[in-house]
Parts: sequence; structure tokens; C-alpha cells
Amino acid sequence: MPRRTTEIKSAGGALPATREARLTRRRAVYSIALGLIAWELTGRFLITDKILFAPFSKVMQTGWQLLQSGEIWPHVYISAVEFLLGFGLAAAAGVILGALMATNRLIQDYMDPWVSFFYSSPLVALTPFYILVFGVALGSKIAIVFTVAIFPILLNTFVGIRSTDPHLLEVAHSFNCTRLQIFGKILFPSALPFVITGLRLGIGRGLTGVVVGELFASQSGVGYLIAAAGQSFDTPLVLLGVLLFSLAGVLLMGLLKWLELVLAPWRQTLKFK
Amino acid sequence: MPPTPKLSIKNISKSFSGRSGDVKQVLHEVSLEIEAGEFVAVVGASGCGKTTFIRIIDGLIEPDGGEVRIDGHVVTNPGPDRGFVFQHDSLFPWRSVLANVLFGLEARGQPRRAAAASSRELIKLVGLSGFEDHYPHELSGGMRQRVNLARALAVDPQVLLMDEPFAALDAQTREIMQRELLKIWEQRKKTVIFITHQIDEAIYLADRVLVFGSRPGWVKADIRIPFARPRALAVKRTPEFIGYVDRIWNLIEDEAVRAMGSETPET
Repeated sequence: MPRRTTEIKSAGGALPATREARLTRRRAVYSIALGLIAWELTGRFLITDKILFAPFSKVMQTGWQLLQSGEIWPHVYISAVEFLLGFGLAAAAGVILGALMATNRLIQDYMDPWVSFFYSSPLVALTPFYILVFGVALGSKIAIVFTVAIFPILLNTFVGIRSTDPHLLEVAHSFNCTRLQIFGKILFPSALPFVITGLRLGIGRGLTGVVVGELFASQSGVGYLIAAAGQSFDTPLVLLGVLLFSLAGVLLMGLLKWLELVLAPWRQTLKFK
Repeated sequence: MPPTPKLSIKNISKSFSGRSGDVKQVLHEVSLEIEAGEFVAVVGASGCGKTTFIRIIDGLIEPDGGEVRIDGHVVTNPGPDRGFVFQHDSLFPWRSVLANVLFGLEARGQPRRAAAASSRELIKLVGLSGFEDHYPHELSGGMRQRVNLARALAVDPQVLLMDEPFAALDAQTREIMQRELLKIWEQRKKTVIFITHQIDEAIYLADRVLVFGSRPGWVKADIRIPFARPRALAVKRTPEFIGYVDRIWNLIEDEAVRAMGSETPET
């Protein structure tokens, strides 16, 4: 399906658009390269105190050493498990609760005040409490990720279903659709782009959850690595940890973009209009 | 005993309560009968309840009083004997043309393959062959309304209900669509109720034009249009045609002018 839509676009003066896109991409590469050079130069000549800053090459070197010794993998693995479990549960629960809330008035009225309250609360502040309840191991981090990630997903699912075009619902009624059909064929596909936006917000929050949880109290994980490195004034390692989290974020966002392309191909061509 | 008409509407009334609590009567005791295969157009000033009227026939709105019968059976809900073509661009944006057209069959649980086969035929009928895999946003307004029509025809309804389907189209596209609609109607022999605010559109298309009076809506006149079929678009420029336009315009002019002064969205 997406292949066909690009064919149509290329028929109608799409050439300058792709050229522009190529230019944008090239500028992005330049920008990143310039940023890294600036980082390197700052680390070498501007802030030479080893505790205050580290050049990019030093951070990469630290990374290479950890990679070669294999020391890094258990930490990455733990953080990944914490994130994926917490986020996966949040995604499932968020979509289900959001859908229930959007389709049932009673549930909505009872849930609404709490959802508004929790959505606007800085829930990472619950971390010490979760560590007391769930311990310093995996459990508390999964719980934190779940708690911070679920609300944007829930709320976006709710809003997505609610903003379904009433004309489309009228069509469904006219075709005598059952409630289940209306949900599966109209409400859900209509809400899907919103759900994906919710997931995107959830990823950002969930990663923050992992970091905070691990910084606070843990024995492993990339967040723990950062905390430990900070205590021993190992600035390159601190920066490396931050970089790892950033890369995870970029990777997950890319994955989501791909998911959107597969699940909602009709929106891709819309954006270019 | 005369044969039962295809569609029989008896004493339909409907009121809506406004936000301020005032009750507004939209339709008052509307009655009429429509024969099988007849093309009936409904015109009237805005606010004459024509949209409510056609939604009651589809079963989307329940009347306060009166009944709608199709082949003698009382209508309470939407059913496969009626197909509705909406005014708004109500295609599903996440479905291709083909998937939009077969929606009704899919909702009825028909196997995908059979549904796709009959839907492709309808896409061809409305002149959109080759666009089966396109998405609605890639189509022009006229093409979208063709899909809309094909989607309503897909369930093979006996009565086709059309609510100002060409209102959003530009003048040329609208004329082409009118001609195409007649061609399809002559092939498929559906009973059609066609709502419009364009008098010439109503006369060109219909066997009968119902003129609705306003506030509350009622059937003010029921005018038979005798032009031979198939009708060429050129019929619109004959003096007889213009005579009908004048006659209908005179019937609704006062109300149309009044409606302009107190424009309220139709429900």
C-alpha cells in the first residue's frame, strides 16, 4: 500500500519535495557532525578539568573498553528489561482503560478526576515509595516506568476515540453495525494515530522513569552505572550512560515511526499534502 | 385493492428540544407514498426538516409519531433494504476505495472475496476503476462522492436515500454527477429519495419533486416531472424546465428568505 501512494505523489511534482527532503537530511548530518566537533573541542581546550567535562573521543573510548570487556551488557540488559516490561504493561493497560473510559460514561465519570490528577503529577516523585514497597530490584523500576508511562497513553487513547468524526459513526449506524464492529472498525482505527502519539510520550516518560529509579537505588542498570560513575568522578562514564539512554530513546522513536507507517499508512501521504 | 407502495410514510412528526429547553417541531404529520423504482426529490428552504425526514426513513432517528413502511413492513432501525448516501465526506480515511465500498458487506459478515468481487463491479459502475487501492484523501470531491454512492449501493438496497450528496461539489462536477446518477439509477432501478436545496437538480433528476414547507416541515406540494428519460443535461435549458423552476421557487421563496434571516443549523 505505501508503495502505491508514493507512486501517486511522484506523479504530481514530487521531485522538488524529495530534493528538499534530501537537503534537510544532509543538513541534519552536518548539524550532528558540527555538534560532535564542538563537544570534542570544548572538552579538549575549553573545559580541561577532567571532572567537569570529557571530550567526545574520551567518552567513546570508555564505551569501547566497556564493550570489549563485556561489562556493559548486564547493565543494558537490566535497564532494557525494566523499561520493556513497565512500558509494555503501561501500553496494554493504557489502551484498554482509555478505551473503556471513552466508551462507558460511568467509567469515565469516575476515572476522570483521577486521570487528570495523575497525568499532571510528577509521578517519578513516587520512586522512594516504590523502592520501599517493591524493593531495590526489578520490581520497583517496572512499577515506576508503568506509573509514569500509562497516563499519556490512556489519555491519548481516550481523546482519540472521543474525537472520532460523528459522521463516520452515523455511517456505521446506517449499516447497522454492532457495538463491537463500531469499536473495531471505526473507533479504534480512528484513534490509532492518537494512541501512537500516546506511546511516543510514554516512551519519553518511561525512560526517565528507568533513569530515576536506577539513580535512586539499584545494583545494576545503566542508571546505576551513571550514579556509580558520578560518585567516583568518572565523567566520561557518566556521559556515556546518558548517551546510551538517548540512543535508546532515538531507537524506540524510530521503531514507533515504523509502526505508524505499517499500521496507519493513510496518514503518511496526508502529511505531505 | 391497490398494490402496496414501496415506501409508505404516514403522519410522521418530530420535535427536538433545544439547548434552552424550548421544543422545536421539525416535522408535522408528513405523509406520502412512493412507488417502486420512483425517483423522488425533496426540496425546501433550510430548516424545513428534510434532513431529519430522510434520517427517519433510514431509521437513524426515531419519529415522535407516525410510521415508515417499506413493502408494508414498519421500519424501526437501519436495514439492508435502505442505503444512505451522506452529504458530508463520510468515507473512512483509513480504508482504501475498495475497502470503503465493501464496508457494508463486511459489516454483514459476507466473505471478503465475494464482497470484494461485487464491490469492484460497483467501483466500475461509478467510473472509478483503477482507483480501488487509493485512499480517500487522494481523491477529488467528485470522486469521493462516487465512492460514497458505491458504498451505499454495495449492500444492494431497494431504497437509496441521498442527503444532499452533491452539495459540496463545484457546479461542473455536480452536473456530471447528476447525469451519472441517472445512468446508474436507470441501470439499477432503485427507489430513490434525494434531498437537495437546488431546485434545478431536483427537477432534472426526479419523477416527483416534493416541496417542503418550513417550521415545522410539511409537504407543501408534490409535483410530477414529465420529462422523458433518459434525460440529457440540455433539458435544463428548455422553457418547460425553467417553468418548473419558477413554480417551485415561488413555493419556497418566502421561507427561503425568512430562513436566511434566522439561519439555524439543521438537525
